[in-house]
Amino acid sequence: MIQIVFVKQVPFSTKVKMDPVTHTLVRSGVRTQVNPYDLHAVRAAIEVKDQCGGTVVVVTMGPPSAVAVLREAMMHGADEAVLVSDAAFAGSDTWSTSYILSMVVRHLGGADIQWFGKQAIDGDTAQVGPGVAAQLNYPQITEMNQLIEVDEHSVTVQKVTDYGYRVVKSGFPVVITVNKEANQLLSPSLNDWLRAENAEIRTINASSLQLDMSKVGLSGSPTRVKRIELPSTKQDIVMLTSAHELAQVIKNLRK
Amino acid sequence: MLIKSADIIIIGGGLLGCATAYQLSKRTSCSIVLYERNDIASQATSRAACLLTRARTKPALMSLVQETYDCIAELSQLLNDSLGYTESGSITAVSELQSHVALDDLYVAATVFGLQASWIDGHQVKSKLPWMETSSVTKALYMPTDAYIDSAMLCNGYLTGAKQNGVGVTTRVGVTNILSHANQVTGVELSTGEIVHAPIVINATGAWINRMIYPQFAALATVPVRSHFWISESIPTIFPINQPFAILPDARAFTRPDVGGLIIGIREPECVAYDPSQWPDDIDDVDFSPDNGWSTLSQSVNLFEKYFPSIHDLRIAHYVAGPSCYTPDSMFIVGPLEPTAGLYVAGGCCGGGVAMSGGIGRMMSEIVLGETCFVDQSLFSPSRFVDVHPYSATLRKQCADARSNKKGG
Amino acid sequence: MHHTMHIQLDKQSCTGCQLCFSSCVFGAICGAEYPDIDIEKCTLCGVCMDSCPSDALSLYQPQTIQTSSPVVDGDAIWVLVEIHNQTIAPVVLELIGEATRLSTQFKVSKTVCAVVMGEVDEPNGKLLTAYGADLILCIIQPSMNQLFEEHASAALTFLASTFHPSVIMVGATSFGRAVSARTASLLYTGLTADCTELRVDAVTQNLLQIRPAFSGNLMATIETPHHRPQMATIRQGVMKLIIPDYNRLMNIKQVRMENDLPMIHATMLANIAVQATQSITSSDVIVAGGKGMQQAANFQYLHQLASILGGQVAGSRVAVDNGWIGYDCQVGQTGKTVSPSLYIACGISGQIQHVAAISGAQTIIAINCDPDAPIFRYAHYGIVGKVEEILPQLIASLQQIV
Repeated sequence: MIQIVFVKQVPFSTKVKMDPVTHTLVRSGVRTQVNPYDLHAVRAAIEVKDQCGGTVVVVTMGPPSAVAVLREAMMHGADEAVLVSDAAFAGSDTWSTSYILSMVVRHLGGADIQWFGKQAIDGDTAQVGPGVAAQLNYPQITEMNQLIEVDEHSVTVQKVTDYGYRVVKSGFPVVITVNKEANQLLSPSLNDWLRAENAEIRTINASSLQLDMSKVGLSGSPTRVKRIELPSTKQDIVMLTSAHELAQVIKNLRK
Repeated sequence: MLIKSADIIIIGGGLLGCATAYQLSKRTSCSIVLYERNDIASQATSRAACLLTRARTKPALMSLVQETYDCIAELSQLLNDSLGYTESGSITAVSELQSHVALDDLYVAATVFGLQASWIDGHQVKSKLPWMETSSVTKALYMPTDAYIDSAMLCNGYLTGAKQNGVGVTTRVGVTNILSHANQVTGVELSTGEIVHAPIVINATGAWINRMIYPQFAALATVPVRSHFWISESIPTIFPINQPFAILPDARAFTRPDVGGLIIGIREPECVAYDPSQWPDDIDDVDFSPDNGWSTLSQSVNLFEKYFPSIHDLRIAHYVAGPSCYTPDSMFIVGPLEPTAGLYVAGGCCGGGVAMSGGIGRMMSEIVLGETCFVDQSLFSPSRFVDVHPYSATLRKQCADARSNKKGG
Repeated sequence: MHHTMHIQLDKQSCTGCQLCFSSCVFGAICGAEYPDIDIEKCTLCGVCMDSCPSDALSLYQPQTIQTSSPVVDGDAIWVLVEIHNQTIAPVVLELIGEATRLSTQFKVSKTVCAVVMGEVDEPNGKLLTAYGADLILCIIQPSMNQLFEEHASAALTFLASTFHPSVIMVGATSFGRAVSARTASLLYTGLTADCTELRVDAVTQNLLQIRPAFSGNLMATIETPHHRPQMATIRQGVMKLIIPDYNRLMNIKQVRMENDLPMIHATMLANIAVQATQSITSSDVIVAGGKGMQQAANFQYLHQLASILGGQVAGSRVAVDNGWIGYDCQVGQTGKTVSPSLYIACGISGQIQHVAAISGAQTIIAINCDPDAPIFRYAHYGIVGKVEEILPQLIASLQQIV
């Protein structure tokens, strides 16, 4: 069985500060990590591999520095890693990213299960998994919270819905996005690190993907960031000095 | 604008700043204010291994540690909070013959000081530390009254005690400048632009200590050196929660239980020192290790293997790194900063900041208040180093070597 | 000269006004007179290009890329209707309300259209109409299972490519997020997740979609200039219902989908409904605790206060992470968005992720021991002090006077 797990490089800390004078973003250094949800996707793939055998390939799209997250994913058990990197991809929104990744799936010859984290902690959009499934015309199972059963032909999972849970069985190929509750991560050991550190990482660029270049990067992205600003704050707070005073305010508000 | 003033200003809300605030507040009714530009205990303090190792070869250091234990007892009662204090005991185990001498010296110093200490054999070590391969252990010292603590809780404990005694605390406001006139401190300027007048200012800013005073006032022979440990996954059957912490000088290592896991600290043969002039204001922004400590562990694990052969397969849940501020002679810097009257420093913790915090706070208070110091303060005098270039490669090398050559945890 | 994609300056057009310097939140633009763009810091977000009054900044692209042909804008705003057990999801009515408001911001106002998968029954049709739908579009495909994200997406894609709506709004439910993402991908159009505000650009007539960005620390305004429809998801509680008018004329149009639905290998084995506890999103009063509550035991005060005021207890991310309260009750960007009439934040510092999720609250009261806590910048009433001291006093006072 072939499984592909898509992982994303995200900032290590979601703490972002604004310089109070220049109003520019003070980004916390260059530390990055694998998007935490994606590690659960890797873990799910390893659990499937433990039962069905085969190969788990991790794929990330990003700058050359993103090999670090591929190695981190390999420490968690992936067999192979592919970096999808090209300056032309810079500025891709979720649509363009989905398009590029779907072409990567085609380039790699497809997989039985394509795994994604439910969403990335830096954008919280949850769009790329379903986006790739759409481009490939694969079925999608979003928000898996439990892997129930898997064999050579199908996978059965429990997914979260707005009203509870749903148990879904799907044949292959399929796209599955994974919640944090889906499994327990295992911490890697020094031997795991050594294996990942010495692993060879393939790099794929735009020219090998037969892309329509008008659909990638900033110019190929349907959405455009028009403005970025600090959230507006209001100033007219009334400061109270005692709990009794506060009780009066609440009483008046609740009239 | 309202002009603020105080009798004493403490800069820095880490362990040394908060311990000093507490000790000062017990001894004087002066008005004391403390400024921390981040959150209390958010920087180096929260990244310490927190061993309260009592035995030291220098009696002055044992007195400083004892003072910390006294403070912990006092604060626990006052605040009705354990502060994460755990009296686990400690085992110092050696394998090399040349390490026996140092361990003998430590035993003598400890017992003379009145500490409980006993020699134990390999079987006894194994019974207390089930994960350890003890066949190479040739000598081991057990000290039942050693403990470890939660450093952030201790730091907050000092500060709560200080606040109860009237110390004013402001967080998220930094000191941008120390002000002086005619060789006398006059106050500080805050990041808010406000000026606070005070005749006494204590610089307890840890890794940033030179940034506060150099080049206007003086230079201190201390730089931040990387200090780190790894925390294993939780396996309570192998890593009992109540096991003693262990010091393994021949592996340049220590271990400590941590809720079913094992904290493993291993010093590299060549420690990494940093140029603090290049540091960000918040330690979260320092990248101590691009690969999360793995290559460092791989390079420094060889001596530790003989005590824990399966370390290569042990799952590592966390890597924690932070700055230890070392000095070339591995002693702290506590005292007045000549020639500026009213300016004091407490820093250069050399990896002993948690264990010594109460003692350093007391020493600093006694010096500031002109009282007789309970330990020999000359050991820690800021003026013992001459011709200091705080941001030089030479000093970084000296301080990194001081940590690399350190014995014990 | 860089050969990869970057922002380039036309010095002939640049007036040296330096407006772009301050437009860049990444600090990538500086210089003595003309802007000098730091390639390392630039994220190609394009904000500077819009800030330039003389169009001197543009995107340099290494390949010749054909620009999309101008799009024809449709005359309708669609809202995807989610129905579960004959009940319309609450967010749908909120979105229809927002659609009616948006409609009037266009130079030529748009039709507000509710899109239903399958038939709609009379009561629901009336409800959708009363809350603002001018038209109810029902898509009929006999083999469709509307619970399948693939089917719903295929149907919505078919409808949108047939009728060309200008805007499609979808509730940011679990289902809505998955369906909208798949649909946007099929339609080759933009989708902005979790918008907190929608506006229409007076000049371009583009939909301005405002959402938290960079982990919620900043607000980004996003538009879909050259693609249609303009798609956005919005969470429950963000938009306001309009006052229903049950005299409005119901207008239903059924559309048969002739295309086949995609082959779905997935089969549903079980559908387990979990008894929903009363959700904080529908509560009129919320008493929430954060890091400053310090320990689980202090949450008893919140429960007491909530019971006096007839409200619900909620928590910040820290409170949930510490196990002081369940995930169901988390307010914040990763939790729930709420808009009660009264929100009492106890020991919550007010990180933007949290504040963005309570911006719909009518009145916010903050209790925090740190006078500089950001929550005081958003609250209407504030009191500085320890929650464990103030809450018992407040409870006692309220018990006397309420």
